[in-house]
Amino acid sequence: MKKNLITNGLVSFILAFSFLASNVHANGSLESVTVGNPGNAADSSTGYGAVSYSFKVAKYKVTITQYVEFLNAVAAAQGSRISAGWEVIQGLYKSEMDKAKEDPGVLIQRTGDGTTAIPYAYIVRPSTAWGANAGNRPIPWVTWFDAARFANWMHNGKPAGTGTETGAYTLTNYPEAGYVARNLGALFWIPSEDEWYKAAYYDPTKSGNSYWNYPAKSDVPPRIALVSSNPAAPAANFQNVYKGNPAGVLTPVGAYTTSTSYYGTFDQGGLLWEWTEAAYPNPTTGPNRIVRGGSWGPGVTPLRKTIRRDYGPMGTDPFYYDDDTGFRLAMPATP
Amino acid sequence: MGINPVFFKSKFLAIILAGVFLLSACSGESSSSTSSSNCVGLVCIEAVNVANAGNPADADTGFGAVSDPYAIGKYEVKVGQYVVFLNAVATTTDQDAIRDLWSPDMQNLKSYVSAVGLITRAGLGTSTQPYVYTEMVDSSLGANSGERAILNISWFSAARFANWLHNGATASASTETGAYTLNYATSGVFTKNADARWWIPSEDQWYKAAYYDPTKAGSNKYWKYPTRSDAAPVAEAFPGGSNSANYDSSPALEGKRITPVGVYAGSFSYYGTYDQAGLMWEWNDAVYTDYDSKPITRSMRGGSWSLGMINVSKFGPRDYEPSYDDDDSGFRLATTRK
Repeated sequence: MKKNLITNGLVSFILAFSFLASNVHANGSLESVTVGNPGNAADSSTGYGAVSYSFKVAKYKVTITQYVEFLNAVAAAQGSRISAGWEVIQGLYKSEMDKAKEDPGVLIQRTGDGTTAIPYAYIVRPSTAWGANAGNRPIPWVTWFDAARFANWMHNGKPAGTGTETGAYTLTNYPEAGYVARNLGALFWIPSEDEWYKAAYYDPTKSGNSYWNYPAKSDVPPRIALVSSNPAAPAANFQNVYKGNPAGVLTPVGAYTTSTSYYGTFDQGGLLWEWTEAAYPNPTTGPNRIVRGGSWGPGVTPLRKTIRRDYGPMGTDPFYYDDDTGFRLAMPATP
Repeated sequence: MGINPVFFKSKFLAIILAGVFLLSACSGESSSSTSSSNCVGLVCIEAVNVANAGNPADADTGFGAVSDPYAIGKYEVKVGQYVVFLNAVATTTDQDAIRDLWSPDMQNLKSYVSAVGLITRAGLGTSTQPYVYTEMVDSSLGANSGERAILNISWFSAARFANWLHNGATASASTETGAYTLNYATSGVFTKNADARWWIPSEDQWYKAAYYDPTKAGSNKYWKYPTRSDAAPVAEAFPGGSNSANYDSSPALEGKRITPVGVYAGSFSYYGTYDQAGLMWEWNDAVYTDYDSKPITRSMRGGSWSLGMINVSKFGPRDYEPSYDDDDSGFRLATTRK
């Protein structure tokens, strides 16, 4: 689809990924950092970023491994769901997640037929290039509602066969579009735009307006760099640096080991755009939702604090999903 | 269904604003009453004057201040114009830069975008079997099929079209010098020559034409959207109303997303430009740099038929390598004021 192939004779992707040891979640909890400084002022140049309370935000985008665990828990078989609901739950898995011709490459294999006798089973596709870290790449191809269902499932303690429709968001009649607000008492949620923005750009130790122009504490674009080059901060996977890579365009979360925000989050610039809770009014189809942060794909500006995009229903598809959009979750400061 | 250019023309005259002048008739339109012809060689590009030189920048974004008068295309460059260009400059060549002015993606579009393609190419590009380019006819548009906006345009294709106009737009006019000295380059960042007669608009020129309105109430004279509106346009079938556009993957346009230019007849900027919201992303001349301040990408604005509402607002610029093209990348040109 996109055509500017960068054939940058990618040498080697073999690295010692000791840094990822802390990113393996035995019980699926999300590693997080606390975003303090409640009551910080908004960015005077954009108006975003003011958050009056402390909260936690995941250090990383939700990974393939985490999404596979989710699918195996909730999308193995229809169970007691109505058939319309099962269509939606089956749809948490997208055929694009396993297509070699797509830029991210093959990520998740699904076997079985979704019956009680032969339930679906989901596994992380192995990757020669990334080895044990294949599943530590972030999951793309998710709609805002897929992210909301993941948040609900986390909120409910990761139950089997249920738990996707209530909790953080009350999803009545298995919706795939329309507006849903976060419930009070949510334990995991899609960050509000201000929460996301503060975690990415705010730095109380920065003089003047305490917001960086780009994530990873930089006023200039990060280095467009391969992980294997072990780049100094700020660096990120963006502007097609991995386009045409036979192992796909996605790199493990946290792989740019020293490129972090003030609060310690990784990859809020590049890799995958991230859903936020913010709605953009759409009189035709109901609200679109805001994404931020840019992706592996083309462009420098997407990582800037001034840039946000919005997506909603797309033609006959109920909601947008693509090869460059994922999510991370936020949590209360004290559960 | 069909589009009646005469009808649009009269409608435009009815809403013409002080300081706004139609510069030229468009190829194929019978519009002698509206303006003096400004045809160049084989094509005619309608343009509007953008007055109010020395206007201040948008207080919200810093864009839009232009110190000199200029003119800008009333519409995005159209399929019919681009076919004439291709048949003039790209029939026999051994240069990738020329061959790539046409893309197979102009012929075969994704079905949800358009069931009907835009331009076919036959031949081999040799002197004995030259390329021949033919406009594809959409039966629902008939003779107006060539009024559809051209797509899969890289920055280089836009620059070569500008060069061709600069040099008189004849069968022998060069695509490689004039507004931009390209010499068959297909990558890199090039600067406009000072004496350019047609050019890819600067970001401020594009922005001013889209959003500026000296008659707008308040201290900041910029609208949020190019349709003289602070509320988002309605994504609906044309002609729509005074604030409508082909964007955000309108359900009404599934499979027929490549609409003719100007068909949202009541939706235009203060200066009289059409489709600066939606239809195709449009190249401008701004350059973005990387960590080491090396130029790498150029800016596009205005959004497209595809998803997203912010894209068509003044807050929605993108940047791409100049070789990038896609099924929603097009252009309009700027020229000297007449």
